[in-house]
Amino acid sequence: MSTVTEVLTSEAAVPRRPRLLRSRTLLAGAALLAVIVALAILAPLLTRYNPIQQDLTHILLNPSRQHPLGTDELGRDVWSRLLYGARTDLRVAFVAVLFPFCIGTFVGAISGYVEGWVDFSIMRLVEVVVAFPFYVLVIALVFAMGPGTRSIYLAITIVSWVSYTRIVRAETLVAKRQEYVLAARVGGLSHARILFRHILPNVITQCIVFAMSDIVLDILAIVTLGYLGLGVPPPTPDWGNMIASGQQFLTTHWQLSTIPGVVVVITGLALMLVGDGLAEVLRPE
Amino acid sequence: MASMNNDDGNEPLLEVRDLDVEVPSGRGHVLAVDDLSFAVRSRESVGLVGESGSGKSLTLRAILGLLPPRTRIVRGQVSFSGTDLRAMGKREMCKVRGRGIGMVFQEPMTALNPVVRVGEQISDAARRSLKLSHREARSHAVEIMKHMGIPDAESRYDVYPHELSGGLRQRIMIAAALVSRPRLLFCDEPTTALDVTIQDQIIKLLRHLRDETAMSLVYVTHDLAVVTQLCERIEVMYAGRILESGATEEIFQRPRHPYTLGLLKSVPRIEVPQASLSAIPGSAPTPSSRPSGCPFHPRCHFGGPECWQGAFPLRMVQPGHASACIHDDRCADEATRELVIL
Amino acid sequence: MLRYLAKRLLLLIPVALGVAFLAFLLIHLVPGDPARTFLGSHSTPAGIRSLDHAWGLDRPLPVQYWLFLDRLLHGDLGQSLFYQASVNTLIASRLPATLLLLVYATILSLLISVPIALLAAVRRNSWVDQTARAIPVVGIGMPSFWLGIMLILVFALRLRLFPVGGYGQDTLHHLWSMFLPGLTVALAISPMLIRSLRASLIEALDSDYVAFARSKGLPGWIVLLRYGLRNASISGVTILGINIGFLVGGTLVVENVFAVPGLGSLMVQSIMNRDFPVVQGITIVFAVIVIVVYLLTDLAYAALDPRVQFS
Repeated sequence: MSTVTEVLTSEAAVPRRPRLLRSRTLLAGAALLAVIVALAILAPLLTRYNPIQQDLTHILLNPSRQHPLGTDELGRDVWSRLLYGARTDLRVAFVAVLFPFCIGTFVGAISGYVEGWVDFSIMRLVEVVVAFPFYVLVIALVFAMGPGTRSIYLAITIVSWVSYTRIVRAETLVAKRQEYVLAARVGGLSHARILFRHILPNVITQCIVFAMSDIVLDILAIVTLGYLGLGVPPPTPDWGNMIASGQQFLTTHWQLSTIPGVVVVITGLALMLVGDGLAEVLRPE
Repeated sequence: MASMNNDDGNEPLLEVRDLDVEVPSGRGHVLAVDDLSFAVRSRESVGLVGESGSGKSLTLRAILGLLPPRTRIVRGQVSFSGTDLRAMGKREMCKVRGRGIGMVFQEPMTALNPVVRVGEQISDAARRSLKLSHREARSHAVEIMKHMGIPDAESRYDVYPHELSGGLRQRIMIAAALVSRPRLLFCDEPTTALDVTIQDQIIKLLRHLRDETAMSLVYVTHDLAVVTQLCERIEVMYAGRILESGATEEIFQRPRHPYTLGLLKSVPRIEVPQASLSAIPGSAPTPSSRPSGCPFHPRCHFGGPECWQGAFPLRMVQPGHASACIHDDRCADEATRELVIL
Repeated sequence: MLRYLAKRLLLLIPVALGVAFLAFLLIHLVPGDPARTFLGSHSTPAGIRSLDHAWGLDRPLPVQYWLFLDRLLHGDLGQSLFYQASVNTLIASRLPATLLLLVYATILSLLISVPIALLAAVRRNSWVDQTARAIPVVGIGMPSFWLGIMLILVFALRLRLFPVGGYGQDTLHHLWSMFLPGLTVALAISPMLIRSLRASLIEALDSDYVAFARSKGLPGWIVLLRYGLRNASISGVTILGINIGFLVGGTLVVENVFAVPGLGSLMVQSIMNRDFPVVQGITIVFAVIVIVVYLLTDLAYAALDPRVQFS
């Protein structure tokens, strides 16, 4: 009879890369995202123009060596506005996703773990929020609270927490009934400890994956609000208000509206790739 | 298709030769079924015995062309009634399924469509294969349901799968598999998901149907006891290969492969007082971690270094009895010493 | 079935109350005095006091809510601050365009999504499937208003096939003007639909019951229809219903791109006009549309899936 070591070596020895590097999707998305974020961070180094400085003698110029993407209707350099717009939109989107993530996860965990009428009430509250179409509620809230990034954060938080709550609640309901939880209860661990040390870590991976697409939705919301004139207040550059002001020049200078949109799509693509890649990698083996 | 009706007693009804089936794994593909060969004659019932993960269900599916996505046959021949199944087009293969070979799945709750009435799931096959009208198919199905021992067949026709008990659901599935009167029936562990008493009933039913219609049977299971009730021949499968093949009685009395011996020793006997349960040490390898040489050698107490490399094909060790083990004699001796005869 | 409907309606009551409460709260989210904010530069102390009184803002909160509910139950959504008309009249005049856009977009999105999802699920790993998997990854990040502008650029300005915006006078004109807006909303929602439909189709096709059906000798197309599609469409209905929230939200933005005289453009205009009652009224109407659609979806699901218990 062969010994254990012989058994192990007789099987094909295959070195495996660390988990996070195994998904090509994740690597591609992360690389693209890194490029975009780098461009945003390095904005002052990549352009010498001030994005909010108007120059009415040089309006609507076509792309040239001085202005790689031309100028807009107020003489502002488009490339520079694009880079600084990235700073604005990305920063707001990444921050905006944190509050719903934390609040929604917490509420969902409580709801799924405690069940009973606490769960019932929270679910009805979720249904109330979900009854309003996303943009309708965001716009109405931003309108009520006045323009500015603070309103955007608040509005997005009030609307987006529900998705995380639903995910976490569903997972918690299942996890609660697993044997390791029952064992922990028998072992005398308190509810809070079980919930936060044992159940939540297993449940959080789905939330992280979802958060990626949530950031995309937040970028879209910010950009849409910008387009409608309800977003980041001018003159701060934002991809949305760039598209809006470019719309009137569609026949002659279509690049003013097109380019910011393409950038949004590419950013969204990067985030979706990261999300899908994470889903692949974090899938329980 | 003249050869389909060939009822020659000498030629096997189903013949599988050198079958390799690939499944997707973390790094490409691996072989889940490896160099598999066996045959089934007319009116013969063969048991395909092995643990889960041995590739038994995959073998059945491969023969019928029902492999899941990214799983495929990469080598081998499959012939049914003299016709090469692998060379068949889709439409011809549909004719073989149901009418030539039928299949009963393991879990009726997932194998029956939950949103279609059970009776329709029996009659839809009948309508096509027997060219019956809607009403004819319905009454035909009700007849079969009665034949399967389903009470209140007429009203049960319109019921949904979730409204029936496990045993009744299995009878429905057997009815649907047999409605086109196949000459060969595949059974993929049809009683594993059922209570022991229901198991018994289903096995009796299968035996009765088999005797009545003179069809052949391939019965896949991990349960040795069931095999003795239904099958006159056994193929023992492990890690995608057949390790031993022979008549049921012969194999149970004098197994000639250490794996089979281990399986038989681990069956607890109520008549014999045992100090402890015997089990085969270790566990069966997954398709991506199969050892080289004899696949069973890591868990075997017979062999030595000669078993770790090389190929160990099935060889005839006695008339009608084949084994893949080169120590089959010693195995048979130990069996005679240690096994309690049933 | 009737008991199921009754039970669902019963559960709707807390939701309806919650919706009304949230809409009611909108005015109280305004920092500072709402009346002053809305009168803006026209505010005078007397004006503020009279507006406060008209809105009942000088009464205690629960009383205000009660009055609000009372008005709501009588179908009274208030008076517009900007137009000399009741909110109801305004909404009624704009509703048809929005509904047309919604229906148009739903039909177009199904026409786009279902064939792609079907082909992708049936021909796994073909180029159709690869495309179907790539579409959501690229498409979800696409702003719908930008997509609309691009469609205007190509089809309205360059190719001159459709008008740049507006609504038209007669039915034919309506359908023609609304094609690009409808297509925009449909394209905005299709990536999500394709992803979900493809997933549920694959789940059905890979299932044991499809394998069993095939083992009976049923030909591929019958298996696809009676066993694959039949099961997938049950969850498909739910998927469509869930996405209706996004559809409705999509119409809001797209109406503004194409200058469609519907509820969405009225809402944004009213925001510019600081016409609070109209904004609140439209918010409520949108919520009602979504709730009704969810209810219909639930009923359709219960009707299609025999496993749903009607207890």
